[in-house]
Amino acid sequence: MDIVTVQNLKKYFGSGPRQVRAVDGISLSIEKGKLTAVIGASGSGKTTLLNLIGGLYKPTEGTVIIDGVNLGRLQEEELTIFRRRKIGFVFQYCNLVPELTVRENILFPLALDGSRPDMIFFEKLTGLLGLQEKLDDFPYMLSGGGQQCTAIARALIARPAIILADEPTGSFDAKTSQNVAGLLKMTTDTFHQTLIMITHNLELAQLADYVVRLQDGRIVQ
Amino acid sequence: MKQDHTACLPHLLALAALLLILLGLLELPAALLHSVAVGLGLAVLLLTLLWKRHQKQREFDFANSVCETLDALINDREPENYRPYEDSQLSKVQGKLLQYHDRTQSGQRQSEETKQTIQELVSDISHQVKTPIANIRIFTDILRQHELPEEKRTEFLSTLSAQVSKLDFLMQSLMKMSRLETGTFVLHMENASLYDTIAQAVSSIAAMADRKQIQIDINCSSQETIRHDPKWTAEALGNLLDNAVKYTPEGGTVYVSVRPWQFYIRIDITDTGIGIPTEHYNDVFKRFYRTPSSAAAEGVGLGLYLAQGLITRQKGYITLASEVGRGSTFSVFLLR
Repeated sequence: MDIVTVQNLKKYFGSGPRQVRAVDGISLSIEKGKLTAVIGASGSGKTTLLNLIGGLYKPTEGTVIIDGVNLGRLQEEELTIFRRRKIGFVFQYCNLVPELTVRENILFPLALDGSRPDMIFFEKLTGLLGLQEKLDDFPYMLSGGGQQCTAIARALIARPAIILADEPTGSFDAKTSQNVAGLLKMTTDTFHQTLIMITHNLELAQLADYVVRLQDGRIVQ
Repeated sequence: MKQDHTACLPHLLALAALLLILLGLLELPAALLHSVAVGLGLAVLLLTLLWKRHQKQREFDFANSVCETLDALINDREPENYRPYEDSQLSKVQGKLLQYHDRTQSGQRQSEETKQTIQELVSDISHQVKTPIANIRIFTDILRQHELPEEKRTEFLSTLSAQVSKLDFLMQSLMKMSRLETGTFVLHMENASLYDTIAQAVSSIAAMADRKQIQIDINCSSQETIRHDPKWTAEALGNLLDNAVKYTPEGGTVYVSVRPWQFYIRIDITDTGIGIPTEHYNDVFKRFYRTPSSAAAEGVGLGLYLAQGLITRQKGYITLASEVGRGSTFSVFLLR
């Protein structure tokens, strides 16, 4: 069963001879509960594709359908609500709120939505990511890997339809990369979450159920 | 988004009360004050009744919408009134209902997938055991029906014995595989020495390594203790080591190194064998898959598949890095 459907998606920046065709006619479907790795060289359109799927960019042409909703038909405010409820983001840099504790950072998306947390799920999630002892710490007190674990928990806490991870291990050394990618895969597997992960690390791409290779804004494999 | 007009009702009531107090302060004739008070009282009463009625209607609409959603889910339809992009209580409740429905559906899908897996397994098993059984039958018939010289008899008997061993190995692997696939496989996780687990795995391939004069070089601290299932982890590592020894030329070395990381312990098993091309990286972990270059070697293509299944169920994972002609490294990551 597909959770994401992308049809003839295009995103061009600028116009005339200097126009950049970042994404140039991509169509793909992503199966619910699976890990899809998007690989490709720098400038191949990986991040633009992810931002289009996440509704952060408006496409030049084409459609993105997530969990049955066509993002192109939503108003800006509706899109914000939809993103908050249905899409979890994990970025290269963790983007944690430095003034909030680990616990508060994880629960932040629920607070924004005015929802009460499911504490059993919260405990399970933080337990899996090894964060139980660090819930009252502030982000600066954690290692890079610990901070990214907090970001992973924050992305998962609202049980979104999909998690989009843009080079989640990009700012780490090889060791921490493997650690974080393994934990991301393990938590999404445990909670049957769909994950789309951009990586340029072929070793990490091995963790994926499906691999999409981009080149010049198009799928080549 | 809908505006909630009833939210201003408490303010209207407060305003009416304030008006009454003000009128009292103005020292108006008692009769007029009385009439105004009665009028305001009636107005407040009317507004309260209207407000109550409106509240009831809202509750009624909410319940109806939830029922419509449930009806749609019961009948396997997409609910028509679900708008996940609306900031309303209804869409929140509907979202949760859909999540719950999705979870139960995925359980159902999983049980259908298991059924299909079992069917495929039965077909795979019958296919795999065909050859050794046919060989056993042929050699048994020959031995029974023909007068053979002692030398030939011994040769056929040892062939027969090899086929029985193959069948035994195959059946054991298939049994493990079926337990893994059908979820009847139980892990016994405990804090145990990783060194002992590796030693157990190495002992399972020691005879084969000896025959090929292959040295096993182990770099692991005896202090390393992690939470894992020693028996099944040894089985998984044994399968990877078996593979490494199989593809390393005689007189070579297989390296086992253990490195504790922040969240995982990494166990690398490195051989100097034929290597695996990048395009086969994901395929080698599939059931019964054998790369074209490994066709000549013994095996049925279950070792890596079983190893991955056994490690994944312990919330770990395996990766592969290889260079054709120079060898491969299988890295096992176990949670610390």
